[in-house]
Amino acid sequence: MSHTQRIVEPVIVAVVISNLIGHLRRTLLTITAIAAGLASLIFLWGFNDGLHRNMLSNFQDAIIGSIQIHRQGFFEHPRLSLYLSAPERVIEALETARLPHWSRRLETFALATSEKTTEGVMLIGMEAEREAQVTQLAQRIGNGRFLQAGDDYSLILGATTAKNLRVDLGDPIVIVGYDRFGALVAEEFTLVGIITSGEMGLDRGMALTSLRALQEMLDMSGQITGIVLRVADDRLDEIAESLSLKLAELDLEVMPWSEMFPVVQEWITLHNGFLYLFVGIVLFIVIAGELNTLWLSMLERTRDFGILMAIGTARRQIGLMLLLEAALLGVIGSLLGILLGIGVILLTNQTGIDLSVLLGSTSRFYVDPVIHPQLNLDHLGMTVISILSASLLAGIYPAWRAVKLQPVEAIRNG
Amino acid sequence: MDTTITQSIISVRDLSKCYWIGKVPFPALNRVNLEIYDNDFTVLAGRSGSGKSTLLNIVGALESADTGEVVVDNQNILQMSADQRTQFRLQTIGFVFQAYNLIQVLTAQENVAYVCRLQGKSKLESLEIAAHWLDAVGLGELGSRRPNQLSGGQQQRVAVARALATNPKIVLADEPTANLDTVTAQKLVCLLQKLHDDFNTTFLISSHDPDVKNASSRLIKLSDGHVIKRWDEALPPADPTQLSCPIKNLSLSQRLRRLFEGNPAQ
Repeated sequence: MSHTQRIVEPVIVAVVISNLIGHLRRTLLTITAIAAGLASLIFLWGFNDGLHRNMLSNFQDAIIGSIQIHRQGFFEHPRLSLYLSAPERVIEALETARLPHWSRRLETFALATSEKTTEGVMLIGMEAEREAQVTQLAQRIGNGRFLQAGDDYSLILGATTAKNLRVDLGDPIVIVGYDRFGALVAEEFTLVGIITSGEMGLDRGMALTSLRALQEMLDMSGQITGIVLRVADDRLDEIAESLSLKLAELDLEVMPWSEMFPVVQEWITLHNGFLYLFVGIVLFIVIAGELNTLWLSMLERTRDFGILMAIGTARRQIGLMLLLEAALLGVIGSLLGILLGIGVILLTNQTGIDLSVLLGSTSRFYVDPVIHPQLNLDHLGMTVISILSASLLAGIYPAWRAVKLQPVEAIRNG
Repeated sequence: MDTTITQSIISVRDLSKCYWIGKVPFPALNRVNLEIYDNDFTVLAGRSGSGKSTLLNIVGALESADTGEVVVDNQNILQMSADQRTQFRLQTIGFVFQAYNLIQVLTAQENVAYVCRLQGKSKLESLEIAAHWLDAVGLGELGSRRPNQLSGGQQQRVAVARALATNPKIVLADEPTANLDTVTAQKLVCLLQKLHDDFNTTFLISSHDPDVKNASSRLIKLSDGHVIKRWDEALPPADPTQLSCPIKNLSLSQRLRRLFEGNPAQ
């Protein structure tokens, strides 16, 4: 009997295909519903991933980079006494690891004083010539210019800070701070650029100057408090872990951006969570739609199933027919959905989706007004598998009910 | 027609079956005993509700019984599992139903070929067998039509071809002429009789159609679930003229062509 059962499966496939073609409108409607559901999900994931990628890229490009290396505890309590004791060894490790995109920084809190008022700022001394390798700060200058090699006491302020201090390009600004021993130090700087980013974190409370000028002011020649790196997103964790191991003996903290600002990662996780919820809702709709189709199809064909059983079709084969039907609808719908979804992503990736109407300049949170959807294979795979599973799941109940049919009753009542 | 009693192919002993609608019992068969002999053309007669269809369904392993024993082709079918009954139906029984019961999404040829494929034959072989049997019932030209493109008589002939395509030992036909007009019904009876003569298959037919009864070699009459009359001796051969069937001495395909000639819709 098993031999017979094995070789008769093609006839089951033939009946299923005949049935799908025989009820073409219903078949096309179901396939279209699955394809549209899947394409929508793929596109939504693409949009979501494009938005997150854009946001993360902008977030890292703004000022923090991908990874920062400090003395242990500096990020939590940024004191000058926690300067990097052997920066050359860190740089050597970076060079060995073929990580060329790094820049040194010296950071401290200070007061910026104009002729009119005073404002607290995070004062960052940075290498003008290397900064472009780790951030896109230079692109954020809305007025004036970015730092240049050879700058002395040039200063860049965020737009809000400059506005609060009521200063403009060329105005003198006195920076007052403490050196690493707690002694008061002060120096006059000239405002050469104003950052107009739209992000509150940059536009307010940030003051940038050249590393050399700040080292002179703080009497910390050759000293830095940290090194900023830019690495590819997909290698971030691996590189951070590898550097931690390499630099373990130097008592340093190697912090990827997600560790420094977990709220950003949490926001993305939350945002993805909403999308998972949405995926669930769409899956429910797909299951309900396909279940409805298959259930109606089963009810319509109750008599047929009775006949098929009467003339020698096994119950297992009847169940298989409905499962196969569900699987075929799912596979064909999914293939079309994948093509459609990826097609829309590729198209919108090129053209971009302009959301400038929705995003005010002050509430963008590192998101560009034009989003370029991205294809994330993990999300694509998960979504396709979910839809396929949902399609199969939708076939289980009708198949189970069909298997339970009694031939005579099915023929009589079908 | 060979009317010699050979051996019993269906043996029914003390068979009872009762349907329940809620708590109300509806006895369908009550201690029925009968024998059907190999190669016979037996008709179960009786009014509607007499138990004919129930008896056919039980003999065909489509339904279970409450008590009794049914041995078909030396197999006690009431003790079979569901899978065994399926295989039994596939290998031993050919069914012809009152309402044709063809699969609407398959063509006539595919409907017939389907059972052959269930038996494990290849697609090509199954289609060849189907074509042969469609030719045998006079529908060789209409194999590519779907059931809704065929008349009732044609559909029933497809059903007959399907019933015979598996080379069954027994053909069970439940009121095969009930949905047909008189002329088409007579022609179908002729067809069944000729097929029985040519292929020596046992036919057990439930019907209250006089033409069908006239064509039978044995007649069993049921009433209220009991066998009330039984002609154990073979009946005289049916009068072909009464069946509009004066074609007995022609070859099968000639007879069929003649039988349905001039009225392909039947």
